Amino acid sequence: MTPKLIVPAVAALLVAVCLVASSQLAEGQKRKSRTKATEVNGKDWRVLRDALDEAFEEMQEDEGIVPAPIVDDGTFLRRVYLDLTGAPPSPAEIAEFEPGKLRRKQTQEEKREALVEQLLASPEFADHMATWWSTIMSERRGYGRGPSYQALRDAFAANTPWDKVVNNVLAPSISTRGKRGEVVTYYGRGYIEELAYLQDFGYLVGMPVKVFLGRQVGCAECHDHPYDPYTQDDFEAWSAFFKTFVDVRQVGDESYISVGREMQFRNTADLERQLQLKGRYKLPRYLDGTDWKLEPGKSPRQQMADWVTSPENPWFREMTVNRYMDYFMGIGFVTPVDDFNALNDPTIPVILRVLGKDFADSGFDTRYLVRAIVNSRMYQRMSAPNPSNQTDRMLYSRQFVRELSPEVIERSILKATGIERLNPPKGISKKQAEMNAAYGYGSPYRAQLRALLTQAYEGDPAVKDLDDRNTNPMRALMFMNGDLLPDGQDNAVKEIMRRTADKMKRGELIFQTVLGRSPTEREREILRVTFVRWTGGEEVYEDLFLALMNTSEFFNRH
Amino acid sequence: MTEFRVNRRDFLRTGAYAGGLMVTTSFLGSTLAAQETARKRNSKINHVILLYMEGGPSQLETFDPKPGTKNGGPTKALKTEVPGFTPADSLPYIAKRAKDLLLIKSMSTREGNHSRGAYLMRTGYAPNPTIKHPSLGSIVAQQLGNPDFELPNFVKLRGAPFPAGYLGVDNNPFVINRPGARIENLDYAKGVDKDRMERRMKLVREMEKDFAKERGEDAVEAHRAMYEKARRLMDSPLRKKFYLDDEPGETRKAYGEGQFADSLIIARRLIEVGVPAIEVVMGGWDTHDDNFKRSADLCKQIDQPWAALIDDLKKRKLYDSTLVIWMGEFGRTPRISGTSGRDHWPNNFCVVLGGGGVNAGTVIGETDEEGAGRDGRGNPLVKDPVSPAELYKTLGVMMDWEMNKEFQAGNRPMWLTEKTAKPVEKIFK
Repeated sequence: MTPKLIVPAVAALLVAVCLVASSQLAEGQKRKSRTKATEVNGKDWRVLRDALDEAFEEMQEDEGIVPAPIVDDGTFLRRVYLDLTGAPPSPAEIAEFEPGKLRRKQTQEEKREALVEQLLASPEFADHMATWWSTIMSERRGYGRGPSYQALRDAFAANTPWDKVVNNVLAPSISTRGKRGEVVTYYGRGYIEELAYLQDFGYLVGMPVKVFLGRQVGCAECHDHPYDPYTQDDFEAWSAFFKTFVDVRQVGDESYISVGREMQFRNTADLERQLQLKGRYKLPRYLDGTDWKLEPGKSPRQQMADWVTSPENPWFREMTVNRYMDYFMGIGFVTPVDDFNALNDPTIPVILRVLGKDFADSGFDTRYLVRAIVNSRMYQRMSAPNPSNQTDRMLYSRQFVRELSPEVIERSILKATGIERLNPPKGISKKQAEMNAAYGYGSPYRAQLRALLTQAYEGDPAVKDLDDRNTNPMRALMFMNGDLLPDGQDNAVKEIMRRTADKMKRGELIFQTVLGRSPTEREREILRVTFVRWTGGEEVYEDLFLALMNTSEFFNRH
Repeated sequence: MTEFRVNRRDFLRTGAYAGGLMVTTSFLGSTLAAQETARKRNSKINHVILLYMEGGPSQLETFDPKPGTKNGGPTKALKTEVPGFTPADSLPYIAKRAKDLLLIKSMSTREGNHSRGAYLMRTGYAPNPTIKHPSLGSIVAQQLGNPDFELPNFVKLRGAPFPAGYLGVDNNPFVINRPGARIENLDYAKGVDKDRMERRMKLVREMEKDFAKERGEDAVEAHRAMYEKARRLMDSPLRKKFYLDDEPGETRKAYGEGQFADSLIIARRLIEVGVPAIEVVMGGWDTHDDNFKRSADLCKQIDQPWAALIDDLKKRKLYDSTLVIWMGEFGRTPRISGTSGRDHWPNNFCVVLGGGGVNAGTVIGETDEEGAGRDGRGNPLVKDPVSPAELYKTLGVMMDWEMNKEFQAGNRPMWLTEKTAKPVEKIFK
């Protein structure tokens, strides 16, 4: 190995390299700096975007990798709708975007940027992000959409800084519990309280660390961690933060976890005494080894939350950017996404560090991060590989085909079939309708759909990415034989048939409704042939609709 | 500015390697699995039926009653041909088949919580937040099953789905919620016949071509495989094995009535045509109150069907190639509670095995007159305690699982059974 490799990424990231376009990377893509800024500064997401693009493109060039071309408008539209709103665009939304067309004096970059802004401001974005995070936080165990769904939705709608959101999740302030805008849950409790329902102390203590810090301390409940320096002693010291308000009691042979009032402590000796009363004697200690110190007016729980979400804590910011990269790019710097450990080095540590720092400098602005990623060239590349980038999984020279989560599938079906939209419930109060929306409930159709999807995906949160495709036949059975377009209810197919009598137009609209894109020339030809040969009745449109819903494209984002 | 020196080429190589692997697993995965399972096993066991009693059946009201003692309650014991095998009086049919069964009275764990205990008993491992272990049925499906079989390799009759974890979704259970009733979505929808479905699927194949060519060949491939599997299941003549319509009244009478009886007949019908793993779940055993009446009632529901299953399998010469296991997540406290109930008791409880390779007519372990004594430190005194890890090791030896093979769970190595555990040889020798 030649030890000469100095990562030019650093240079590219910290100081914008205003290189004159020197090489043609791919057709129509010149490498050039799009801004004159000199450093990523946590203020202008465009600077971050350009720094990322330049860093990766430089490395790609060094490795002889030709990156995939930028996707066309139609593909971009579907991708960004799925990623930001959790469902493909509707025919109306496709028409509004006018794929392939540009207004006067508008660049493609500006056009896409405007769309991203529009989506970030939509209620669907907040809804989808909240769903995404609450499935992460609950691992799809427990009730409904999981912890804190409604509160997360409000936080994403208001673009509350991520450190504030998480801080509130971990230590909801008692006086403001239940107030709108605060991160509380259906039960008027925080994340920890919801985890407590699962009656497993190790899970309760380990989950926040795994979800927000990407470290796995759960193992150390029973034994010293096999390859991280966490000992059982560290685990107990960390648990002490939780023991001041969570009571673990052994009644008979069952352990009960109850959540009590947070206690205030006069001094360290007082806390020691309280902990002693709770069975195990141990003062709290932070996971990085720092000792706990009493801070007047602050509960240990609040201190724990402050430590987790501190801008000085590299784990928190790096875990967050890793998760966002994993989500938008198909793979993060560390894989599995929440398993940072001594034996699992990040692919390109320096970029992870700089990106994490910049995210913290932005005031933990998740929209800043999202803007920088989805407006970048790396995000907007095609997923089709070429011989040079086929095996690249770390330099982002192409996008990845990612299997959609059951929640996104649910949302996609609801949007495509239009059952809820076209059959508004009768006799339901406005307040009830609001509640339903807030908690992600809906019609009996949605409830049935969710039950079926839960079974088809077997409640398995591991369903993710290329390495674990869901090949369970139950899902195929549900989509082939399930009642996706129930009799006696209005649906999108009927709506399209009312709208136009033109066969091809109907076919095209059905195509857009299900897949969120227009048919290609070849696909139009298939439609034509299908309609010409068809001698039966109007069920051909329903067949087309259901056929498209059974294609692998419907289940994937590419 | 600091210069970061990173051997990027090295990174790239590992990255590329991993990437290559990821892309191909969905294709190769099944082929590789097929080759692996085609391995010649040194075992005559080809099927496993797990009778899982949800809630924790009382050992004192099933296979370890203590009549006439302080903790015994009203439950009486039946004498059998096998010394030490003295089941409760609500199990008369099973009592007559003592010679076909092996009883472990000394199953012992420390998990007194339902979900943790059930996880431990179903997988042989304690729950761990960073890993998902496959349950017994999934292991059997992966080790004994044929990936190209038209029926699922693991059928679960009732109960919650339990994903196969690192063994992959191919080995997930196919869950039937209401045994005997029509299975949801297995039949063509109203107004759809085979021809219409074929027309639709032809359209699907056509519409997938561009997507496959340009972006997701492997995604499409995995998707097609899933649909192929589902359609083979829909069109399979073996599908009728899920139902009881053509089962002679005579057999149905032998098994008796009730959902458990129906489930066992379906289990037998399925193993007869080659399904390797079945789990039948029966709930209701969490008898914190009114334990005696409820337990006796539950025993009556399992007694005749279970005995009939033994007879039926023997008659069809399947008993020697089928392992039948009866278990729950834990036992119940010897002390009787104020509500005539018994609480959770993982210290000692019963597991019953029968069929292929089992040293039938044997009893392992013993408890004292109180149901379980304690030493000076409060630890239970049980003779010959058996841990779940040891039980799973034993099952692995009996079925010749690949127990030395390293599986990848995320990025850590895993083994089908705990590496250091020893098999309980008395069970099969």
